[in-house]
Amino acid sequence: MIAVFAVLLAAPFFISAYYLAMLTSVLCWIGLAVSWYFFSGVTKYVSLGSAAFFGVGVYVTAAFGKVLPFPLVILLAGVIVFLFACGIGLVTLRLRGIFFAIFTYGLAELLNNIILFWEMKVTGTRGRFVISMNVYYPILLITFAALLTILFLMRSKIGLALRMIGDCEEAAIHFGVNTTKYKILGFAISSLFMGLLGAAFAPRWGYIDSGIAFNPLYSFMPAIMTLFGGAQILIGPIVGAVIISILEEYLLTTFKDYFMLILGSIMIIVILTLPDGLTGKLLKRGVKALRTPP
Amino acid sequence: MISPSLFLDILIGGLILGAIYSVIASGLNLQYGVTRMLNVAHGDFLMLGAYITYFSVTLLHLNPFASIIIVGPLMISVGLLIYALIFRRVVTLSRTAGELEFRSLLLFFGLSFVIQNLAMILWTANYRGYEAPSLGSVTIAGVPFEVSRILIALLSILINVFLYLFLRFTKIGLAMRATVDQPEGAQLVAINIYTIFAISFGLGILLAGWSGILVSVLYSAINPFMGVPYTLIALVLVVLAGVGSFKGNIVGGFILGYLAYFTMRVIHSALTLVVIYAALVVILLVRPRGLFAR
Amino acid sequence: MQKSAITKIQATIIAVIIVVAAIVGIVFYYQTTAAPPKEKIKIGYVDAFTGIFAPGPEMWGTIWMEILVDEYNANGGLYVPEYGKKLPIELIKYDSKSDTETLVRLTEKAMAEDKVDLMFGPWGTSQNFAALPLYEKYKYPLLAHAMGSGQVVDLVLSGGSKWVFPVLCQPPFGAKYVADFLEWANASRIGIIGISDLHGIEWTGQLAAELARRGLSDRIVVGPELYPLTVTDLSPIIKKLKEANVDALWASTYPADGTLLIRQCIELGFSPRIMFMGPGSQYPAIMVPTFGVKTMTGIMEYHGFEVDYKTSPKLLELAEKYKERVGHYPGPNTIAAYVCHEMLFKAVEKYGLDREKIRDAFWAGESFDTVVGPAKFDMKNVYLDAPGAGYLCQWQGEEILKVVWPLDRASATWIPKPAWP
Repeated sequence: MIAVFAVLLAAPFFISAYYLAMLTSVLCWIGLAVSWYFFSGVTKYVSLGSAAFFGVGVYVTAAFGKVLPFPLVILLAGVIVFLFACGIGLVTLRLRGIFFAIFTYGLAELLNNIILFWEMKVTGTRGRFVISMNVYYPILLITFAALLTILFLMRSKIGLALRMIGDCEEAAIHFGVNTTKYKILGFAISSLFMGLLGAAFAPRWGYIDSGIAFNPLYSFMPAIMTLFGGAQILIGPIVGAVIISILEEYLLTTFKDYFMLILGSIMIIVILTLPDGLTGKLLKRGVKALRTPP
Repeated sequence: MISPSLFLDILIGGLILGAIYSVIASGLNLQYGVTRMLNVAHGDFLMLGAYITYFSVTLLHLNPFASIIIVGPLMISVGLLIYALIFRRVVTLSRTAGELEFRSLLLFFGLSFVIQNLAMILWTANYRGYEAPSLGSVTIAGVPFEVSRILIALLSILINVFLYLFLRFTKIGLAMRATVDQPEGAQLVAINIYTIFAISFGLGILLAGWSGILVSVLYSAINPFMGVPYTLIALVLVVLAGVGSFKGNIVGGFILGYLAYFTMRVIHSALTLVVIYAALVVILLVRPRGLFAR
Repeated sequence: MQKSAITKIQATIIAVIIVVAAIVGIVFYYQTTAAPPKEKIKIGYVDAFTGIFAPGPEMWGTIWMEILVDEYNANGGLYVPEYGKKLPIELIKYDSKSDTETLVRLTEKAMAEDKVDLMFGPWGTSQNFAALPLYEKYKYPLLAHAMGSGQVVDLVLSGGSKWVFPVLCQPPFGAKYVADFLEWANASRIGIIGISDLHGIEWTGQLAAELARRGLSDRIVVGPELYPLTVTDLSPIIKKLKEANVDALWASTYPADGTLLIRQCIELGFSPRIMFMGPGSQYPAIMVPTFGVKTMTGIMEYHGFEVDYKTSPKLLELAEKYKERVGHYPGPNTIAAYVCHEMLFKAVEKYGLDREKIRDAFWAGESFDTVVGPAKFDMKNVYLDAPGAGYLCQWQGEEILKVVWPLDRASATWIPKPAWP
């Protein structure tokens, strides 16, 4: 991994601006997908609200980007998102999985509405400008931080707890695991990274309003990428994110009118033929050791 | 203070909106209740119903309400076809309900992309509208109400009544309810789960299509992406109602309808979604499985 | 034991992914940087062709841009002085999927990789703002034909941007001519409503502010009141308007809520003497099949730039071309997309593909001849000064709207809106 990191660090020096932007985007998606996987992939509590947390991060940068230095803004975004996710988790994670999914589905839109109203009535503005800058390094750092953190946590108590919840929540409760606490913590950590990524990504867009910040695309793409790549193992979301984001770019520029159709069809075909995602097959080939907790 | 005419306005206005909401969600509620597969493409089927209505009106010169007889068979065939081609395999292959939920989610997302893009290719993103028969308004106790809305509300109630009768008094309906309550038990009494799944799938899509007719009469700006906000309403209502609960669907629909209408009329229309979500949170805190969960 | 098994497999897979990605990247690279000899002019156009914004560009600019390019290509192409001849134009379109990030990335692709000669700007205020930094970085003029915001005025006036050229009258400036009209027409009970996105917020806000500046705030009896994009029922608002006896309604609407508004106003029997609706609500392609010209008669449009297509044979010819493709005549304001890019082409014919010279010419207020007449950018008031700027149009019994304001440019007399048929 260190080798990969080093290569990526040097990347801006030898690839052109557009490809750098692509790479930044791919890295961001990897970060989002693995964060989603860490909670939703493992515990099977499908969250469709990634856009809400990503968006809060984006918006924090929009609101404070001109007032505070950038690293502080990102930090602030992280804190805000973490607390916010804890709050949401407290309310919704005691419910069954499907309620959680549906609740999170509309969360981004809800925040959009709230901020819209706030801007309309309280501040009288609409949207804010951010200083446009190159965000490759922040995104790279955050994504790798996310990967490392998740790798580390997966082998710790929280990882174990989350996996138990994912396998059979009732059994976990019977074992005396405080499932609520771990669910909330896992959810909050997952959302934290999404918020950080959002805060770091925002400067690329020059102008942010609540509709842009809470784009529903960021809600379901991390889920799609993880499920596509396989939700059994950490590689899954990485593979899924890389393949789908590159594929999408290629389709967008080549088959402008049909890309959604092709993307959707590919998704359907993959699920039908490889129901556990692309990496699911890998696990079946006797690498069972990976699934049982150490 | 609220004047008597305002009160009456809210009383009837909320009723109308509630009826509409409950029909929009009924298909999803039925289908999810029985099959436990979350159709996030629900709104897109609504969109298809709207387009079919549009073409019936403009090409065949039918009254939009009459297009029920075209939309009905078309949508149920589409639903059964999609089930047979795409979902049946996933249903048979999935070993647990959790797995099914997970995989079907991705399939529905893919389906959503495909349907939206197909609609765009076939019919372009241009808004379509048709000349709906303008029926004027009636004045009830000094407050004007549009006849077309009242008609739509009546039709919604009618559809709900038919649904109720179907679920209560037909063998298939009985089987469906049994499946919602006790999937394993239902199989024990020789109910062919897979047939029931297929039928509820088809019915769910049928209902989505019919609600599309109603929406298109109300709101004549038909385009391939119009379904998205309705998916959200349907999802929220399913959760609120208690999954698979017919009673809950109606009651929940009216609760949402009243809240939405009240907010729009008295408070501020921009806060509608916020209020709906707040209601969702409150209800879930008090009754975590929805109003009339089984 | 298990730990190393995990790492090894993970590492191999990551390596494979990186290699595959690298290969794809390299293939891409060679594909797109193979420099062709200068045989044509490439124009990049990145916009939302799918997704939630898609109806916007489709009904507004995309068709006009295609018509413009076709017009020039039918005559051999665009004349470029440094080559001394006409070169055919190729329009390269990329779909932003209504996603800002995609828009930004593909815009950069068009500019940095495809190295297009010119760019056609996207639809939507927020999209224009998002793409602007790239236009600054790569030095392309952004002719913002579908953008309306006071903030862009501030940006230009404060020297924050040299490459954006707003075409339409922006809300603070545009509100003036609307207020002029309202005063002239003796609007006494004004209702202001609109859609709660940037367009609606700015126009409703600026109109209210302008009326306040003139001491006419007490005439506003309802609003400014905004409703969400996904509204399904406007009857609460309409009832408020009716109860307040509003005689002049200002509604910043888009097509979806626009049709809802009209339908519900008809059903609830609310028919104000003056009724403004948003730009999206003026597309004959939607309004005529849904309501018919008779119902639309009396409704007025505002958007900073409008023309009556019958006022010149060339305009009418263009309107007919639009009708061939869409089935109905264009909305009166959409021609702005054609006019500003025609200006761009004329500037190229004079200055060549030197974008900095073109930018300077625009800033200097140099006038170019266009289909509506002489046009120049007024960068003090930040809009395109051409016949059509600041006009108000009205439906009067046919698909092609008439200009009714200002009085000295009107092609027909203003009529109070008749009762719904």
